[in-house]
Amino acid sequence: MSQVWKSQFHASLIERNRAEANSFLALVRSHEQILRDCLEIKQQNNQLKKQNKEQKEQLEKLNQQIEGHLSTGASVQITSQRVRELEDKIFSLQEELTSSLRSKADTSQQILDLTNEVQNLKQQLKEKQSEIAANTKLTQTVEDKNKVIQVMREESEAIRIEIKQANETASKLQEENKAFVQRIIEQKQRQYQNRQTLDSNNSEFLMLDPLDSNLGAPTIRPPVEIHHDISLDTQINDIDFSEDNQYIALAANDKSIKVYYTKSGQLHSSFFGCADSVVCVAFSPNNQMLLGGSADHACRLWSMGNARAKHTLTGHTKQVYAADFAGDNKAVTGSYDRTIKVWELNQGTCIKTMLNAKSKVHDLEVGKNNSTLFSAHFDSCIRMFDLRSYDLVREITKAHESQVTSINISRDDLYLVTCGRDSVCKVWDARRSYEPVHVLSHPDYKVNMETNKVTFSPCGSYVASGSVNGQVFVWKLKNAHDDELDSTLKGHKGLVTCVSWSPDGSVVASASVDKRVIMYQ
Amino acid sequence: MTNTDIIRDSEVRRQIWKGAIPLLINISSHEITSLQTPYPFYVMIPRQSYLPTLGESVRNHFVDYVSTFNKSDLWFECQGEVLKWNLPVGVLFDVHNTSHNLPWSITVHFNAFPTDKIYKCLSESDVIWTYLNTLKEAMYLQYNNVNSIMMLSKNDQTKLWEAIKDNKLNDYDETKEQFKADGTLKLHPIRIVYELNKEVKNELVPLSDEEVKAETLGSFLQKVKPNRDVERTNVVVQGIKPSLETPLDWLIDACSHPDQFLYICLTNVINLN
Repeated sequence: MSQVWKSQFHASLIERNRAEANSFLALVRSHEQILRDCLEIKQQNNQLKKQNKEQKEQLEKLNQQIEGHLSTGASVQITSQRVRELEDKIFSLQEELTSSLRSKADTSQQILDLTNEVQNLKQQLKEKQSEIAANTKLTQTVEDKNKVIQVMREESEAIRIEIKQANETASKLQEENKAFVQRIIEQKQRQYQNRQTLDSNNSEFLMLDPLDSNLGAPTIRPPVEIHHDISLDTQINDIDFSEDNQYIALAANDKSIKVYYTKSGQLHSSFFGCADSVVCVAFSPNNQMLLGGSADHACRLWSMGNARAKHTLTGHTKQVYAADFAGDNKAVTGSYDRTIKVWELNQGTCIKTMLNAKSKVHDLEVGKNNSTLFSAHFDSCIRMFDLRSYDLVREITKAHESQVTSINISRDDLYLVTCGRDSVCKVWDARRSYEPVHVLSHPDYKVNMETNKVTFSPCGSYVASGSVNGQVFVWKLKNAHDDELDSTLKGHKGLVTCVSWSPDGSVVASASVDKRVIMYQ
Repeated sequence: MTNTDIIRDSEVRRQIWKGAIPLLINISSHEITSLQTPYPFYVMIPRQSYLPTLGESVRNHFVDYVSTFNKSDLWFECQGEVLKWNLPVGVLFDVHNTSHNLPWSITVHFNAFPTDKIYKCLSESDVIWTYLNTLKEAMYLQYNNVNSIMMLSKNDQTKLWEAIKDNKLNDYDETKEQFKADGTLKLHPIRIVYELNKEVKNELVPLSDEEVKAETLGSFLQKVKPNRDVERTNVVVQGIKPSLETPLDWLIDACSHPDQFLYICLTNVINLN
C-alpha cells in the first residue's frame, strides 16, 4: 500500500519551499546586491567629495603664495639689512649657548659627585641602623639574662638559708657529739673502774651489746609486720604499685627498673634502657605500661607485656625527677630544668612544655580525674595546673620552710599531703581553702633528702613517710587538726628513700640506702 | 506501485533543510533619530537557524539611523509580540505568522529590552550555548545521559553550529555521528508550541518509545490536547500541515529540528483546556 501521508507530506514540503524560499530568493539576493552597490557608490561619492575639497584647499594655498611672492619683491633691500643684524644676533646667541652648555656640564659633574656622596652616606646610615638593631637585640638578651639571674639569685638565697640552717644543726650536733663524747669518756671511766673492781673481785667479764636488736613486729592495725624483705645490690629511688596490686616496680640506681610480684616477693622482670640511674617510676592506670624517669634527662615507656621499651621521651635538659600518667595515653614529667612536659604516648611526642613551673620539680602527681596536676618544687611552692589549658591554676607559696620534697593526693582528690626538708609533713585541703589541715612532725622524724617520699593510705586516714633513722612513720588522721603518730615501722638500717602504699591498702613498701626493700603487712 | 511513489526519508529531510523564510525587517519609527528613513532590510534565513545569527548584519544596516546603541539591546518583535530567540526561526514563523504573509515582516528594536520576557543575547556564543543546552536537554530525555555531548570537542561544536547557521545538512549529519549515544531510547523529546492570549507557550510533552510507536499525530494530539477545537485549530509541523494519519515515530525521525526536538505548532488556538 502506498503511504499517502508521506507523498502528501513530501508534496507540501516542495510547495512550501517554492512559495517561501524559491520565489523570494532571487528577489532578496538582488535587493542585497542593490544595497551593497548603493553603499559602494555612497562611499565613492564621499571619497570624491573629500578629494575635491582637498584640491580646492591646495589651489587656495597656491593662490596665496603667488600673492605673497608678488608683494615681497619690493622689500628685498630692506630685508638684507635686517638679515645681517639678525645673523649677528644669532652669532652672539650661539656663543651664549655654548658658554651655558659648558657651565651646565660643570654643574652636572658636581651633581654626580654629590649623588655619590649621598650614596656613601646612605650606606653608612644603613650600617648604623643595623648596628642599632643589633644593640637593641643585645639589650633584649641582657634583660632576659637579668630575669634568669633574678631567679637564680632567689634560688641561691634559698640554698644559702638552707646552708645556714644546716650549719646551725651541724653546730648543735657537734655540741651533742661533744656531750656524747664526754658521756662516753665518763662511761669508759666507769667501766674501767667497774672492770678494776671486777678484776679485783675475780668475777666474770661482761660485754654489753650496744645495738638494740629487737626487731619485734609492731602490733598496730594497718601496717604491721614485715611481709617480704628483698635485698638487692643497688639502691632503690622510687616505688610504685600497679593498680591491681599484682606488681611492684622499683626504680634502681643500676639503670634498671625491677618488677616484683607483690604476693610472693619474687622478681618478675627487669626493664633496661636507661643510661643513668632511674629516679622515678609509674604504672599506667591499665597496668599495661611502665614509665620511668632517669637521670640521663630522658623518660622511657615500657610495655609490661613484653618488657620492651616503646618510646624514649627526650626533651628535658636535666634529670627527670618525677613522672606520672594522665590517663592511658598521656604522661606528665617534671624535671630539674624547671619545666613540666606533657607527652602523647601513641606517637611518643611532646604536646606541651609548661614553662610556668618556674622552679625545679621534685615531685608531681596527676589527680584521679586526669585533668589536674599537682607539683612540688625546690622553691618551697606547691603548684596546681589545669591539664586542659596548661594554665597555672593555683600556687601555694611558702608551703614549707624549705624545699618541698614530695606530694601525694588522696584517692578522693580532696586532700594533698606534702613533705618538706623542714622535716614536717602537711596535709592540705585541695578543694576549698588550700590551707594545711594537719601538720605532722616528730622529734625523730628527720628529712635529709630532696626527694623524700610521703604517701597517703588508700583510705586517706593514714600518712606514711620515711625518716633518716631508717624508720617509717605512720600518722593517723582523725578530724581536722587532730592527728597522732600511729606507729613507726622499723627494719631499715639507713635513710629511707621512698615509701609507697599499695592501692588495696594491704601492703606498705619502703626502700632505703641499705639496699633493701621491705614490704610491711 | 511505481518507483516514484517510494519517497526516501533522506529526500524528505533534504527538502526540510531547503526551507528558508524571506524576512522584511523594519525599525520602529520612534527609534529613528536621523533625518533620513532607512531602507527596509530584506534577508533570507534558513528555517533551522536562529534569529540572533542576523544580529550583526541588522546592526550594520541600521547603525547610522539610531542614537543610543547598545549591542545587547537588540531584539525582534512581530505585531507587538516579542520573538523568543531560543526557538528555531521556522517554529517562530509558523506560530506567529498565522496568515502566512510573505515576506514575513518583523520589527527590530534597539531600546527598551523586555528583560521580563526573554534573556539578553550578548553575542553569538550565547546562541551556541543555548543551542547546546537544548541539545543536552533532548539527549537527557532520550538516553538519561549527556556524556556524548560533553565529550564533543570545541572544533566539533563549532562545526555543528556553522552547519546550522549556513544550512549545510551534510556537515550537520557528519558531526551528529560523533555524538550518537548508545543505549535504549527512554523518552522522545516533543514540544507543542501555540499562541494563547497574546503569549507563546512552549510545552514539553515527552513520550515513551512504546507510546510513540503506537500513536499517529492525530491520536497523540487527541490524547494530550483533547479540548482543542479540531475544526478551527491548524496543526503545523515544519511549515506544512501534515495528515493526521502520519505515524508519530516517522514524524519524529524526519521532522526533528537540529536540537533533536520535534516542534508541533498549533495555530488559531482559542481554548485548549
